[in-house]
Amino acid sequence: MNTSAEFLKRNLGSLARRYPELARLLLSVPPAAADLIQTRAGVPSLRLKNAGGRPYTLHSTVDPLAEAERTVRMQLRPGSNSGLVYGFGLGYHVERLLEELPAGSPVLVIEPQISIFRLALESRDLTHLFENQELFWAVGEKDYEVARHFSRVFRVISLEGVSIISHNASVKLCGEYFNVVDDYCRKWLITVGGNFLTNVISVRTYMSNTLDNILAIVDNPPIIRLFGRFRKVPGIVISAGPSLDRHMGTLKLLEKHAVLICVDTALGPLYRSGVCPHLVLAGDPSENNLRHLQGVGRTGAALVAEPMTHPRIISEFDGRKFIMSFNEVLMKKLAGVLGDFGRVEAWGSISTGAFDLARKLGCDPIVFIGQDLAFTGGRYYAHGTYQEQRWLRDLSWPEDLDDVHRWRMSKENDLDATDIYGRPLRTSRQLEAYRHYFEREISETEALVLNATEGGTGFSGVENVTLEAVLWRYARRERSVGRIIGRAGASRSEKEISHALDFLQSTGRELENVYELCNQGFELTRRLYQNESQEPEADYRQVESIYSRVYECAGVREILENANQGGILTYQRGVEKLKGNQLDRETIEKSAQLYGAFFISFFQTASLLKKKFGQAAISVGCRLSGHGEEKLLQAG
Amino acid sequence: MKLTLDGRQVKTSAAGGETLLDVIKTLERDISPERVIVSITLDGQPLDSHTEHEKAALPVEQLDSLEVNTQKLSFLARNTLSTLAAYLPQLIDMMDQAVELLHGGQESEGHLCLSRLIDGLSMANSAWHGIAHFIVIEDRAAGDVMPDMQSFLSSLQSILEAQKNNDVVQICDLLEFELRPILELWLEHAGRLNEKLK
Repeated sequence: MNTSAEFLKRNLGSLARRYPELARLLLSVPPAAADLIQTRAGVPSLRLKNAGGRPYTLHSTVDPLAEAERTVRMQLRPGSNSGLVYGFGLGYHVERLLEELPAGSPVLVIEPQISIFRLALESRDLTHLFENQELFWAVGEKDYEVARHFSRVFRVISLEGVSIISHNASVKLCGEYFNVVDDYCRKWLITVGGNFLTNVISVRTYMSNTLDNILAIVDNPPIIRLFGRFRKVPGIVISAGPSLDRHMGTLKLLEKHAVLICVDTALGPLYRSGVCPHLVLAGDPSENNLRHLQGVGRTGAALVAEPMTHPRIISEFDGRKFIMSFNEVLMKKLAGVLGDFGRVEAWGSISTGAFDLARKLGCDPIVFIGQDLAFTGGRYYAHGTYQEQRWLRDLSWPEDLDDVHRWRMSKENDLDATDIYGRPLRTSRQLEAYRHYFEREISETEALVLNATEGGTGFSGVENVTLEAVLWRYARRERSVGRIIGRAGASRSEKEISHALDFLQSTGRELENVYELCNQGFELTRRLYQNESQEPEADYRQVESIYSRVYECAGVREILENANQGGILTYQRGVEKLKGNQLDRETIEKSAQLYGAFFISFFQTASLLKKKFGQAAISVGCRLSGHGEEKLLQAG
Repeated sequence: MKLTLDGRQVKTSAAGGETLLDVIKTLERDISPERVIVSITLDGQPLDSHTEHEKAALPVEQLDSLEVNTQKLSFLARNTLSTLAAYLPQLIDMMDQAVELLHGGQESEGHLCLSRLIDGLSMANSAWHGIAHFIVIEDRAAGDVMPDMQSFLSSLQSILEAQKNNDVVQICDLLEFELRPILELWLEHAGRLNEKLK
């Protein structure tokens, strides 16, 4: 008979192989107070002693296995190929679920109560679960942290097959937690699955923008040159929340005492109020973001742009420019040729990138301004943003600006919140998600982080201060921020640019190869599908061989996969359906159709990218030869 | 007042008394212990216990007609036994349904179903007491007519306790593994008694 100490030791040892942090944490957590009950099914059950001062049973005290079977039977949808489990208890339902799902199906188990999980580890041998590579664990995590597992566990091609299995006795103990997790999960499934095409389009746009921005990439210095250059210098991260309005006077004073980093939306209002930030970030591929910077003129700020941003944002910006990288596939490849650009982490909003840039510059403390993360005063943005100017232009009597702000807020999925002074205000789920992101990042930041927004929801664990206090406590000394930025601007050598040209040309050639292969592949699949093939099996083998050869084009594979996610998704979903079929006439016909769709989508993507890489190569070639681009194009 | 007893007209004076309550009480006394009143119709309208209470003090002169139906107690008890035998499977189904709902996380529906089940169980419990009291079976003592009530009452008590603790898993266990076998035994017992009475 195993003792609880033996079970714990064995389970922790097994868990530690994949989740060392969790195993360490479990060692320091006491188990929940409970009675272990031996059942007639021969496995233990648990009765917690202290759930609200009353006994509370987690599993059937008679037959937990039959209960688990019923739990899974009632909730598992037909055709499921992955699972999300709410609540672990002693895990009988997880074992049952794994039996029911096809082999290799990924399952994410969420258990918020770490003391109950520890108790499970002391109660039975769970090593077979911890050894299962397809089983993922989110134990003792905050509700908003759980969402990060979804993209790691579930594949886009199989989202339709995710079943949610609730262990109701566990869920009841943490009802609100699972409500939030469920909300996150369903939204994630909708966003990733439902809006997949939107993502596909945006990937193509960012690749296209990056290649259109090729001259900006080779001509401007990478932001990495400024990394670590502002150690112990206060960094002010300026966003365009409604509370920004009150800080203009103090921000003007801080220009010589701190690094002022703003998002593109905030540059106009700042400049018009006489504040000249040092760095302004832009990283959105959409043309709309151009409007934030358009017509602002020479502000003295340097632009830090991710090349996925709209080309006109970079080309029309009047001032010094730096290139940063979000580390997407194309920038990773260009970094392999031109050297590290300086990776900036951003998540959903460019203000998250501004915060990370402040960290990378070495700023300490890092101070948030205009980061309300809420609709302070019933407004969406600070005064003077491009959006507000546009709304003012479109106003018609009897509407006023407050009505427009209200209308804009009504478009959000809004929530009640409390501001830093304890007053009620409204926010949105999206802003809440950013707040959670910031809180997580702040907790991993060495520098002191302060919030001087003087409004909004604030961040948990971050001191709220006034901007004046920042000035007097941390920023009394003058700093030569502008001079340091000015010195980092040396351009690239011809050798570096020449390497970039080689990369663009060789990638273009490889894309040409893929383009030709897809053309051949499509012609074969057409013959098979239209019953024109004399030797269907031989032709089918050749189709498979062409498919393999497409995937052998290692230099462009990752780029093509990224730009053609829709085509790959359709293909993989089809393959899932055809799995296990015998290679008869009908399967060949269906497979030919599937391969045909794959070849068409890759052909189109390769064709688009081939053209873009060709144009980029011409631009860089002209830059190297000193000839005008138009002249070269005219010459053919 | 026209007084009818089991379809036969009876003289009002025979029933005696000045009010409706007096008349009913006299009739009850006259027919006991063999028979009991099963229904009363006053001035063409069925008289339930509530209206009976309301109209108890009405003087006999103000009443037009009173129809009283009685039944032999042993016959009534036999009827109750067959009704119970037909009703117990429904109770078992209701219990399965409560378990499914509670187990499936539909707690409000599950608790609603459970409270209907407990009402049904308490009716069945009373029915057993009536049956045991009025049915006489040769070579069986009165106590043998009644099934084992001790384990039933103790299960019911545990269910109420678990309900108070909101311990759904425990409620399901008690319903499925304790109460269900008891109800199955009751059903079997009711069937055997019915056979015997035939």
